[in-house]
Amino acid sequence: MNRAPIVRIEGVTKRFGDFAAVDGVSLEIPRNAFFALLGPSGCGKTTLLRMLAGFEQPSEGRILIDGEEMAGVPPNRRPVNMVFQSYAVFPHMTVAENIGYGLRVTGVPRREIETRVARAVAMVRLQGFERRRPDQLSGGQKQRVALARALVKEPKLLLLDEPLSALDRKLREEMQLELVRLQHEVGITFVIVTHDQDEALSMATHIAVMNQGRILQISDPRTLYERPRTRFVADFIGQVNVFDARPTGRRDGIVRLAVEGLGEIEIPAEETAGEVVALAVRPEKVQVRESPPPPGTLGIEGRIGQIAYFGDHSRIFVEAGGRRLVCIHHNRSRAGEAPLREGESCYLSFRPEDLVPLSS
Amino acid sequence: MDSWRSAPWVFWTFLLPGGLWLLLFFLVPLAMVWVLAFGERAGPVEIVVTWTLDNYRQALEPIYLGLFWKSFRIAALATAICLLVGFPVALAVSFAPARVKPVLLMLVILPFWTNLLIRTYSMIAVLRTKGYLNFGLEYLWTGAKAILAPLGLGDLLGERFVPLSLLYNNTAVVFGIVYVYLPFMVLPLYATLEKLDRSLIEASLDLGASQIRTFFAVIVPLAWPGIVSGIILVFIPALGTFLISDLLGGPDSQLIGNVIERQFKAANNIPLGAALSFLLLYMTFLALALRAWLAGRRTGRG
Repeated sequence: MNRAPIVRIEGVTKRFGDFAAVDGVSLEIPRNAFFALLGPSGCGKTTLLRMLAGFEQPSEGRILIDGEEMAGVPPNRRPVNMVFQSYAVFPHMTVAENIGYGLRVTGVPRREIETRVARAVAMVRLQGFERRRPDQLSGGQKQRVALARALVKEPKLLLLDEPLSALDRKLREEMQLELVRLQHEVGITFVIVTHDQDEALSMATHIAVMNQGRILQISDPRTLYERPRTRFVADFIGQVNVFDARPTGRRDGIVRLAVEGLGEIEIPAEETAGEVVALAVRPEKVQVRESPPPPGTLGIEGRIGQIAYFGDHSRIFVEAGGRRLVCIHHNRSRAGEAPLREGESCYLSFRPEDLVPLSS
Repeated sequence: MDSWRSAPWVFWTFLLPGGLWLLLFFLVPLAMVWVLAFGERAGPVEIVVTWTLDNYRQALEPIYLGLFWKSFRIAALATAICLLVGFPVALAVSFAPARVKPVLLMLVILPFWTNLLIRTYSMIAVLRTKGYLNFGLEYLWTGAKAILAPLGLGDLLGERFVPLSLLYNNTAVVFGIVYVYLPFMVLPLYATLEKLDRSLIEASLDLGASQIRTFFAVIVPLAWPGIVSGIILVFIPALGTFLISDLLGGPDSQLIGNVIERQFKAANNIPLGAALSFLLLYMTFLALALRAWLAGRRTGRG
């Protein structure tokens, strides 16, 4: 089994005029990964994807796919296929003609086209739709056509540009599971561009967070969520409570910090990368209670400002010391237990080890 | 927009001026010509409608059918050239940066703002024996001669420059039609290519098709409505043209439009002219029916 990464991006920069859409990005995509490029719109993730597809050329740096330098290789000669945001299903061809297009233009024998198209149709569960035209399909079905059309080529890399953004919520969740299933089934490396953190967290094996053309962090979803390294990543992925911090000393592998609203806190030095500017804690690690917190935990006194009710849980916003903190409260109270009310005073508590140090 | 439906009188009021205009100045005269095609000449200006079919019989004589066929061939050739020349232009304009697009479009439309007669006369100035094109060729000839003569190859180009006869023949007529009607081809093509989703082209390339394959498998089929509109817009007026063939054509460049014009004026045989006109109109209807059928075939499958 080949363990070399399927994609190596080395110091790639893409400039449009004076503007660097992608700014000195280096990364490796492992074989069989479900790799997500996550970031706000305009962060350069789509440009990076389009450079992999060959629609844009890097201004600097180089891209290797399966060890081969891609400079000067046009899109139609790359072992890469793409699912477009708009699906780009050919409106003048039937479903089967669309799926077979990539095989037809590369001179695959007709027999083989038929069997491979039939297999691809079955894989995306479009049996019975082969002779339909795109204008007779729903958004989700067009999406499946676009997927089958790309997968039938058996590329080394499948690129997906915001593939689910045009679908409604229920269908989107369905397609997320479907994409993961497909990726397991075909064993092709998927690279997906998305601005939706839930999408990235639930599907990807690796997530690269981008902002302003740079990669901020590449991790598996759990590490990314639990141990974000920078303020931007912590803020972009999920909700978070951030406390500004300032290092005051360091000894024996311990960093001492002055933290706004929490006082002096010590954390192990190995957890910090670079200068610590803040500490963060996720809302689900924070507990709301009426009595002062037990020893060994950190606590803040406050007043319940607002409760957003979501059925199984509520998001509780607490005003504490001039700041607004959020925590998640699981609604498993039984009859007789008084529910939390807006305006009540309360304590917020969390364990010190749940605090994550962030650099700028 | 709902109020439009609930107040039909608004609709009819807006329709009235244009509708009346078309009725009085298009449909009524057209009907008169249609009736005249069944008339007989009873004097220098008098025509009696006897519902005779003689005019149509005469119009279908080989000499006129030959002219119809010739007009058809010239119009078809000119339309084909317009398509071949116009498609790359339309493609280039639709892919041009947004900044230069209006400028390029204006260059395409610019000839519209010049009178047809002036445009056609200016073609004469370009194409005639002592025209600009021949001046240019002579300039090149003299230059080439000056280079070749010292090498002893001066005889290759002949003793004297012989100007090309570019005017007063069928080629000049085709040239003139292409020149005058090219914008009618470019604009509908541009309109469809402009709307074309760029990601479809990228998808085709991404799936392994070459640029040329992409052009024929994706761009041309999707530009089909524009191609058909452009063909209709060029072919139909080209079929009935008489000014261009009159000014740029030679003795054998008579088209059906010239004959019709002559029947109405010089020959003073209005019934025959009317019959010929309506034959041309029926052929046009046939072309439009063909277009509807082609358009239906493209979209109605499946």
